[in-house]
Amino acid sequence: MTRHHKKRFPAFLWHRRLGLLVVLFIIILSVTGIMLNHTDSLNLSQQKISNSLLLNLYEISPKKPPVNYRTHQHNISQWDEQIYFDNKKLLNDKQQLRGVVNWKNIIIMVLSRDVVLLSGEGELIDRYALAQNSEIEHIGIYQNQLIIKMLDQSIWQADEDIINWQPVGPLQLSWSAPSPLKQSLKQQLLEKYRGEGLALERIILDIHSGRIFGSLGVYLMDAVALIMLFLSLSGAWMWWQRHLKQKQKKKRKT
Amino acid sequence: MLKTQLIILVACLFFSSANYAGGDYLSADQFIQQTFAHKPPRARALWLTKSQQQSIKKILAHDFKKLRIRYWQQNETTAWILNEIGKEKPITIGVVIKQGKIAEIKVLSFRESRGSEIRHDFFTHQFKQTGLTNELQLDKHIDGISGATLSVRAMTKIARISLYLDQQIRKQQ
Repeated sequence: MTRHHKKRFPAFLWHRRLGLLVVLFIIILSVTGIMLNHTDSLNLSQQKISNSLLLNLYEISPKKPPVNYRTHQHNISQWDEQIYFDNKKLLNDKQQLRGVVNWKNIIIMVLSRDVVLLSGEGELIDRYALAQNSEIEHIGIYQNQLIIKMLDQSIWQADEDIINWQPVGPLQLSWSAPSPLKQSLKQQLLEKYRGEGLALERIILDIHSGRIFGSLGVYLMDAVALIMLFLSLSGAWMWWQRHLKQKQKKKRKT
Repeated sequence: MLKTQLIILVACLFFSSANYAGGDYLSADQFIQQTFAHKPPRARALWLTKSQQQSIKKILAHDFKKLRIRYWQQNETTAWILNEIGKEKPITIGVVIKQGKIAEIKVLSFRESRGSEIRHDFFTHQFKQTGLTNELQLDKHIDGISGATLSVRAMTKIARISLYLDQQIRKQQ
């Protein structure tokens, strides 16, 4: 007894082989694609990765050394764009930390353009842009008055409520200056910094594009895309061939 | 024919990139100067009670950490400069309230990569003469912009907060 094997034309054979080859990739692309379509509702950009393997893969480390200001019992530090009150994250900002003073039990922090007021426990009281053409260079206290010096050398004095600022003449005073960061605090801040650096959305995007494996991964995903294109065309082709054959069969019967 | 196609392509690219352009449109100082015809009053601060903080938190649908908010007032007009996150970055918006209704609302700085259409007059015009209901909602419907949902939402929240804070100022006086 002989078996009659139906001869499969090449398009079908390759459709089957390539389809099996890319099954896993199609699943990955579909799942990551659906997740990315709902990135807001899934809050993917706010979920941070703390896995050290992934953080090392992405080289999440500070680019510059930290800057620290000490006021009474507290440290206010900036590491790249992260600003910390002791070991708690306070702000994420591109502006540079330029000085910190304690005045009438309020901690006043100046960034490149903004004045930030904190309570003694680091609670945000207010933050506003100082409406000047130049950036803030220093902050200090002179005869119990709060003074700011701008990069253009102009000097400004705050009112009692630290709301309005008036220009004053040149003054000689000690400006707020950075102080060294204790090693234990530095280590805590480094852990916090790395923990904030990588969002889940980034990982999913890179898996979806293949970029998580570098340029090789990207080319691999390009190849998968081309195979999927072939599968859709070969699938359509096979359907068309079958459709024509069925039409011919029907004609012969009639 | 090719020249026409090229012009259309360049125009499409220009307008598509314009929609994605953020930037600083007006400084806080310029906004206040314009609002008060170049004779601005001194800024004041409204220290928030727990109840006021709760109301603002309700409007924002997230924590609100500030203990005070700066504002400018001249007679029945108050001006506010507030920030709210669009998708990931803050949008700075200036609001002018006259007799309890929005007289002006402007985007001062837009930092996101998309959604900056909210700065245009065709959108901000909808907020004029809008007031606040007892449920802290705007008393007028605001049409959204496709592709700028989060920016629209941020501006709407800032409008509501400004109206609420203006009410609180007038209650105190």
